[in-house]
Amino acid sequence: MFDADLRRIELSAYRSVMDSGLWDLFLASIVAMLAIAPLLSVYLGDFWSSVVFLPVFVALLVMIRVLQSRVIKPRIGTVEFARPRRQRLVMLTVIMLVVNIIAFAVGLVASARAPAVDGMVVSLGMSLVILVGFSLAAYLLEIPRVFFYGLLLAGAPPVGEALFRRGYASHHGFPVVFGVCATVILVSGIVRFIQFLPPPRYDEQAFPESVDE
Amino acid sequence: MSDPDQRPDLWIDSVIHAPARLQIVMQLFVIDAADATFLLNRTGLTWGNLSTHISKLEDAGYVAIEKTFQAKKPRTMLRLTEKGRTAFETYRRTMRQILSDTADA
Repeated sequence: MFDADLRRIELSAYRSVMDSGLWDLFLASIVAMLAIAPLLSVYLGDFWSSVVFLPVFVALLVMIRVLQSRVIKPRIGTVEFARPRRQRLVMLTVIMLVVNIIAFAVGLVASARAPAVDGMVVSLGMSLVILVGFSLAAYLLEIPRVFFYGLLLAGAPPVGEALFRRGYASHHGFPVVFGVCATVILVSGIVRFIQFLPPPRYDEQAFPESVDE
Repeated sequence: MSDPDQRPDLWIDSVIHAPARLQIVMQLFVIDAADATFLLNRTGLTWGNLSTHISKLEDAGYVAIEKTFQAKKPRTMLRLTEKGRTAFETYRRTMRQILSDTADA
């Protein structure tokens, strides 16, 4: 089908290169850390139970880079996007940096006043930061799936806290709720990656456009 | 309807007007640059057809081919030239005008 809408063509070209699902796998690993770290903290303490994941993240980043250069680029090709798209991606980086700094500051304050602040208030604060961060990311990336990840992850802390208060889960419910979220994001990323790669092409099956004129 | 033969402003650029080349030009118009693999996937053309159409666009001065090396591997990037961008914008205007004239008839 011939598409004459330039805006749609640009968006489709952008998604055909950027929306590979590989970053979903990285996100899933971060969310998995939120699920596993509370369990490990019993043995390793709060600091080392998080630090132990750093080599995993580095390995995943290396794997993503290798897959991008060895699998994706040879099949999808190389693109240099126009200035508006590049500006959008730069803005995303800056905003994500700001959101992470705010989340870090809020986390420090919450942990310093831990006994005084109600667990549900902390959970709702986390939800708000997650929802704002993911909504902005979804808007700037123009990938609606990211917004649904945001909704999923924003719902996780209050649900976990509710489970914890009723005695159904330990560690504020984090292992259960973030474990479920990590699984959903991981499966979604794998499915997206499989769909992303184009099927093998054979010249005789390609679009029979004649070289006229 | 206006007769394009009597209206020089409604002249259609035949280099761009061919469906395959129009697809290539539209892809390059919305992005900055791309390699042949990307265009191949986006247009559905065969390697042979793509190469032929790119040559025609290059001959018309609409597409520039840049050959560089990245990590010791050759990389060929295709970019729409200023002349190509102007030609496509003119083509869009002309087609819009012709189609609107048709609707009014």
